[in-house]
Amino acid sequence: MAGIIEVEGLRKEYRRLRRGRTLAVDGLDLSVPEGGVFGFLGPNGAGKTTTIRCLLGLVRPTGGRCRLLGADVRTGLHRVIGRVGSIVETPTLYPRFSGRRNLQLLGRLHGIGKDRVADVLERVGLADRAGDPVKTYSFGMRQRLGIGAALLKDPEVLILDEPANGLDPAGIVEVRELLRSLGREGRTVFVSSHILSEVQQTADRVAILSRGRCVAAGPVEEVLAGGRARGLIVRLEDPAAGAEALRAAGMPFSMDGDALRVAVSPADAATVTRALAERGLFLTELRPDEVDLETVFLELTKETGPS
Amino acid sequence: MLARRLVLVFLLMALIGIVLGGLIVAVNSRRPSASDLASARQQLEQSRAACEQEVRASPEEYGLPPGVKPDGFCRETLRLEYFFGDKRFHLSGLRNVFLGTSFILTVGGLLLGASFIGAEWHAGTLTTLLTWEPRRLRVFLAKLSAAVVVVFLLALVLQAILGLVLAAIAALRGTTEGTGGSWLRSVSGVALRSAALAVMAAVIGFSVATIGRNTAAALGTALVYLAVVERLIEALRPPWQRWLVGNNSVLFLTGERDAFRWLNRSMLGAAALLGSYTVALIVVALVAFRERDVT
Repeated sequence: MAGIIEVEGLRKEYRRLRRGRTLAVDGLDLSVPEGGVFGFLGPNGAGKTTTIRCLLGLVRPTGGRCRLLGADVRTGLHRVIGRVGSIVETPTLYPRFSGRRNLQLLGRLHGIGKDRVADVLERVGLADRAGDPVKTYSFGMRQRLGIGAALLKDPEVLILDEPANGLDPAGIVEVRELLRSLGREGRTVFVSSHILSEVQQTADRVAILSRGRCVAAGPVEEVLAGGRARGLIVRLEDPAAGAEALRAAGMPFSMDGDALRVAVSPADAATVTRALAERGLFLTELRPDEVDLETVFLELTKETGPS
Repeated sequence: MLARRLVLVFLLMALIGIVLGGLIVAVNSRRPSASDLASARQQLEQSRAACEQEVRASPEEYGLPPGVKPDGFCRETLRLEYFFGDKRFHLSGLRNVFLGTSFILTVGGLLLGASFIGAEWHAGTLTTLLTWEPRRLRVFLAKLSAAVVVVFLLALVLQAILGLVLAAIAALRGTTEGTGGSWLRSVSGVALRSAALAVMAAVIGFSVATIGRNTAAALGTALVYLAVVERLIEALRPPWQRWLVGNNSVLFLTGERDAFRWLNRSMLGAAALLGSYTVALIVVALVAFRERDVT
């Protein structure tokens, strides 16, 4: 089945008088399935925002094509835009108007009533300040208002460019919960971010972008597993004796300072402890050698770095 | 859109200007006293008598048209108000007032038109809008229409308020002599053409601001063009003057073809030329708006 968001061979080259040509996206292929949270990762300048702008018809691709909810973005975006909510970078709204009035003005474009505006303001935690001018809002409040604007259409698809930008820790947790709940409701949430731990905690699937290309994509666990084999970290008072015991037990391992990195599944921890205990060696630490998204991200983006 | 600060500021400043102008006119407008009038009538009688005598003696020297009698000629030429130091405000001069305020309305139209889209580009709110309505042609035309309607109505309403204020002053402290049907048609024509010029300026400002994505760029371009480029063309290429915006705008506004005979164009011709320039600029702006990336 085709994805809710389909990107095929997307290429975008900017031509600027002074800086010459810049290749922002270089043959990107991407398929985002329906429902859940999809994390779109990449370092600064990887092409995330350009891709999002292409998806929303703000930027015309140099090559390739984008489809959103089955519609070709170039010709049919207007037919599906009512089902898509979005934030591109920092959302900009009229600073002298109140948060409520800004949402009401946007809502009028799609016949959205005041009740829905009130619901959304409540959901993003701005009900108390809804009547204040946006210029008096903090950066985080503006970001939340932007998320509110994106939710206004009760969209099937949300395309959010760095929605946690500028938020305080409590705000980040709120956005994380909001994104999860939106994903659980069956909406497709496509979220770009450079806060990798956030994406790891929120997303079901990820795509990692580097230099305008997708270098990894799939369910978070798969991408994590693809980065490095999982294992166990073992510490004990006599690492050399521990190494001898593991070698005798036929377990692959490597020394990592005063720790032993055992290349077995964390589910096999009992086998490791038994092998060591049989030789009278007792552990001071045993933990899974987990790979986080940041490690995978850095490894993947490093591999495709400048040659 | 009407709540835009610039529109409100412009409206407020215009109203303050009208009130201040009205006060100045009201203070300076004064009807003559009975003794002033009596003295003036006496002087008028004497002057008309002298006039008739001189005209009868040498009608060619005075350019007396055939069929016009000297007494009629002198009655038309010499009027009572000439003899009492007329300080009354004459409503019949409203046309000239509107010709003067047209410049302010045109500059205001340029400013408002440019800011209608320039401010949106500058603030980035247009990006948000385009994620709600991606059909750029619609967005462009909707915004342009709003600018046209607001500027046209604003220009008409302000002129109507100014006209009413001055009419009240004329009725109370001045004179409404010479304000018949033809006067009303002439004044209305100038008011409408003045509003049309303000709209044209607004469309030009809007279009240039769309291309430059900035209000200041639009205003700077327009002012440099009118104040420098057209003056240079006038100086270096006199035959090209007939194609300049400034000259054709004045011809269109005043309708005085005789004063612009060298343009070799009627008022409607000037309107058509200005209209074609405006439409061409709209097309260029629309293409730029549709095709360029929003980054």
